[in-house]
Amino acid sequence: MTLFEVKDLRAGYGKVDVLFGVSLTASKGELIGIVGPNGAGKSTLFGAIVGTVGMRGGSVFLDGEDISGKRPEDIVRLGLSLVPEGRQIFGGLSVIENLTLGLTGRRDKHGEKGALERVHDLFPVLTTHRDHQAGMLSGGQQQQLAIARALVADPRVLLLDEPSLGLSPTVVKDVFDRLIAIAESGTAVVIVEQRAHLVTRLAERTHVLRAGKMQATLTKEDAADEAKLAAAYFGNSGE
Amino acid sequence: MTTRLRLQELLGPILLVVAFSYAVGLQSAQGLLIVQSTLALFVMVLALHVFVGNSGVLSFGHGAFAMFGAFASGIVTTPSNIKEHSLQLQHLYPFLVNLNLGMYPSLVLAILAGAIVAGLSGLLLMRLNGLAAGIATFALLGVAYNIFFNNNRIGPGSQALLALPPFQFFEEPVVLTVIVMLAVYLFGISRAGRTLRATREDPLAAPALGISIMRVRWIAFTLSGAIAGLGGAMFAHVAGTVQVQDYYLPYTFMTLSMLIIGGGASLWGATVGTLLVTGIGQILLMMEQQKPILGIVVHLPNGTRAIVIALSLVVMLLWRSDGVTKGREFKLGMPKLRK
Repeated sequence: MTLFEVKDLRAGYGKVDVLFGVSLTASKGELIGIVGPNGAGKSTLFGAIVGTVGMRGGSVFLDGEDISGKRPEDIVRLGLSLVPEGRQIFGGLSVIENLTLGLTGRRDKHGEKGALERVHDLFPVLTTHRDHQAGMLSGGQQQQLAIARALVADPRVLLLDEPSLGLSPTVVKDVFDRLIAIAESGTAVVIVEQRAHLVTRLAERTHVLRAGKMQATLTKEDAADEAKLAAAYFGNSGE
Repeated sequence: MTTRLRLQELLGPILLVVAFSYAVGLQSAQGLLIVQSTLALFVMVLALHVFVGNSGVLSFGHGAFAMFGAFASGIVTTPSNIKEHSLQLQHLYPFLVNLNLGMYPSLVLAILAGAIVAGLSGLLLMRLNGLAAGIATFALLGVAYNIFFNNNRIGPGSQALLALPPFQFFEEPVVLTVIVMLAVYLFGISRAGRTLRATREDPLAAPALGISIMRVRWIAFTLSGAIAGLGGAMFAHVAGTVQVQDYYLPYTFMTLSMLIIGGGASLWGATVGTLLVTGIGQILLMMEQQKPILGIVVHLPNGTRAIVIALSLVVMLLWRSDGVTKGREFKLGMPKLRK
């Protein structure tokens, strides 16, 4: 059953339209990928979904409820969290203070302690660095903190914008292993990535966003097909 | 759950303030006046720290809350017979003439007045950021100034309200200040305080976590308005008089300078800034008045004090915008003035 649905979404900035009717769905426990070149509108798509970029048309449904146009803080409380590009952790605050801020978006205030324990189990490094300044963590650790901070809000849908950005291949593998575990626990995970190989190999479906439109949908099997991947990513020319 | 009281962060500033109060205040009547007026200004600086320091949004409007606090406390503590016969209070609303409260109920009234004005104005002002917020809060100060300056139904208008009762004991303003310091520190380490600092650090990331920036700013603005109301009332009772000009531009400039020079992001910064500016200001004042300092008389022209403080502010903003304490809380062994 579909948990999350984006229907014919249009968005942009000022006089510039960026998205021209984008649609996608995700069910409970699914990991969905969105790939595309720079300027394709990937971050705009997430911004429009979470309410930080104004929508110009279309709808976003979470568990059947239309959440289009709601305020970002209300959308988080309804169960949709975003791990933004560049992580945007609060570098001046400690790890635990960052996690505590993530609790703001919880619907169930009684489960806060359990939520913190769960993310500490999933990301043990955060326990080690509990009282350290978040800005002093390595890139991989900061990414784990950003994901953990979103998870403590107990989201039903987790959006991640370029989670591999600036990370070494080993760290990227580690981060994606955790994302698979999160999806397996029942959360719908939607990942925007420039590294098409990486996400296509892991996601149930990977949508190719180019010039503000979904141009193709790839499966895990397509990850091995270089030509098909390139054609979908860059357009028919494959350049 | 995650609120952690680091005792030295609280005790360091408190001990410094108490030590300053006793060291200077018990020396002479002049020392007592310096201590009490410094503490009243410090409470105002703490109010600014709660909002400006934690949110990063500049406010020139806190003088308005101090004004409301000062006049609320002043008008109810001025004896009825003085209100009846004072020329500048002849147009006062009759219920205000007959309304008399003791010092402490009047301070509660001042806190409420500051909180209410801040809470109501904050519903609109907290939607603004950056320059717009600064200008709008400045406009609020102007509105409050004109209300009190031109309205002699609620106060003496452009004249001074006289004969306010002073603090009876030396310890009273010290204890009040320590209580405010405790409240300010607890707010800083509370979830609301941390959330507010997070919005200062990254206002774009905060909504993605379910944080309503406007709501947390409004909470801090209202709290800081309450503290400013108290600070204004304390200032009035120290001076024994209230005049609307006392809470206008020089007051706003002085208290903001204290906060910025010390480091607005911490209780320690607010404390150090207030004492530093007071100390330097007093030395320069003595030089302006040709009074000997350690037996030496240095003559400086009038106005030097204001110029030096203004230049210090410029220097801090240029080269050390987070203040002499770098916005850090007190920590034993911390080199406070390290470059």
